[in-house]
Amino acid sequence: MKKFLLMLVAVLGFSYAASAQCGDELMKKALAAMGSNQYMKDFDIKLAAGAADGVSFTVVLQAQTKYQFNIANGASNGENVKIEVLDGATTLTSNENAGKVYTGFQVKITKTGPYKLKITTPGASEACARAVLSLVEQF
Amino acid sequence: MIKKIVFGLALLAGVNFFTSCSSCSSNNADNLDEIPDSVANASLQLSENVVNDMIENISSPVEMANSIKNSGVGFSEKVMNPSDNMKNYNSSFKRALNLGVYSADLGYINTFNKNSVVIQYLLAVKELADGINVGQFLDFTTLKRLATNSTNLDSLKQLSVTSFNKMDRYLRDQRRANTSTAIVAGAWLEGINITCDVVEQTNDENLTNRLAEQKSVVDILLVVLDNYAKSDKNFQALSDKIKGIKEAYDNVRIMYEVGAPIVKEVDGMLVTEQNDIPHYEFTPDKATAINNIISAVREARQFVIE
Repeated sequence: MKKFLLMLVAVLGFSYAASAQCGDELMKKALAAMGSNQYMKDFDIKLAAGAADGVSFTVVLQAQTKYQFNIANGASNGENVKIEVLDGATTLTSNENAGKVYTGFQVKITKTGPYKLKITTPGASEACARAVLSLVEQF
Repeated sequence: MIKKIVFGLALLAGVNFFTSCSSCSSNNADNLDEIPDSVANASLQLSENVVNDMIENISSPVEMANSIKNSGVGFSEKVMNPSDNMKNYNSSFKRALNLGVYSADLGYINTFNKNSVVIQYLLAVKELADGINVGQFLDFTTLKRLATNSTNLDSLKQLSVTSFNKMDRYLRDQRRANTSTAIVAGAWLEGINITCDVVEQTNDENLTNRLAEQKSVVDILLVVLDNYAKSDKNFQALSDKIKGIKEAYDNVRIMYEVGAPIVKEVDGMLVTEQNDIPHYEFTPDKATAINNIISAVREARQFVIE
């Protein structure tokens, strides 16, 4: 009976801890960082250890529009995630510049079309994060 | 005592399991009123992943609604699909299509903060969502409360968009990408139809260019629709109408002069400015090409809402 009790406590504890590290709390954090922008979309990011190519998403961005990405990293991440915005095979922008890592970045688009979001960690370590895409302004 | 604790923990574990999996639970009623599985599976030329990726490539009506507001044109109830039409949609295909249409209308209403009509459109959205078994993602009570209080506009916009995103994810997780495709097609068509109306009224150059840029979206939408059109006459009919729009867009060419992006830090925020410059070509002239697009969009939209 004690073993069963311990097992239940462990299962519950693990479940709540995972939820707190990678679940709605991260989403709330990313949304809070978004500020008063117009929410567009969110991305649930789960990177497995050793996955060098990371994960990718596609998003249509419209010309004459400034967008913002906000990233909330999981508390147990060894490294922060890197988000690159690719136009075809070319990196248009990312949350890293001159050795500095940002948890938010903006991009002003002049070409309407599908863009790829490539999400990785530098050392291909296991990580979770939530990213929110929002509309800042249109020109 | 131990027994009571075990029972309590087991109960908690059960609640935890069901709440953490609420979005992946399958409703037995789901299969009663769906676009048939034969459409979802048998005709599939493209894998679900490819279709899902392509659906992501169809633009959201949020930017379009903002562009319309920026053009300075006021809100017009006449450009939307009347909410009363909702009772005419009896098939899953029509319900899904017009759920998309009304979601775009709702985005348009929210952008202009028109509390007077928002409830009737929320009701139409809820009714159609229930009709295709995705109503659980719309927290109607909260949406209604936010809609009736103008100070909650940002929360209303956010909850509306997140609800639709959750619905879309659920449909694709449930391998109902065909239903998701119909919703996205309806939303795109309604967004572009409202844009056409404003372009016709104002000749606003910025908005006309945004309309021209939808050319790339039409191509993607057609590939996805044709995937289901082979075995479903509803998708076939919709695809035929969208082909009419594609033909009109054949007279539009957009070329980009590639420039190096400008990267800077503004108040601690990394900001990148894309520097590609678009050049638009219309055949035989801009007015004719745009009028042809508007006519084709109206014909397709009429087919969807009738």
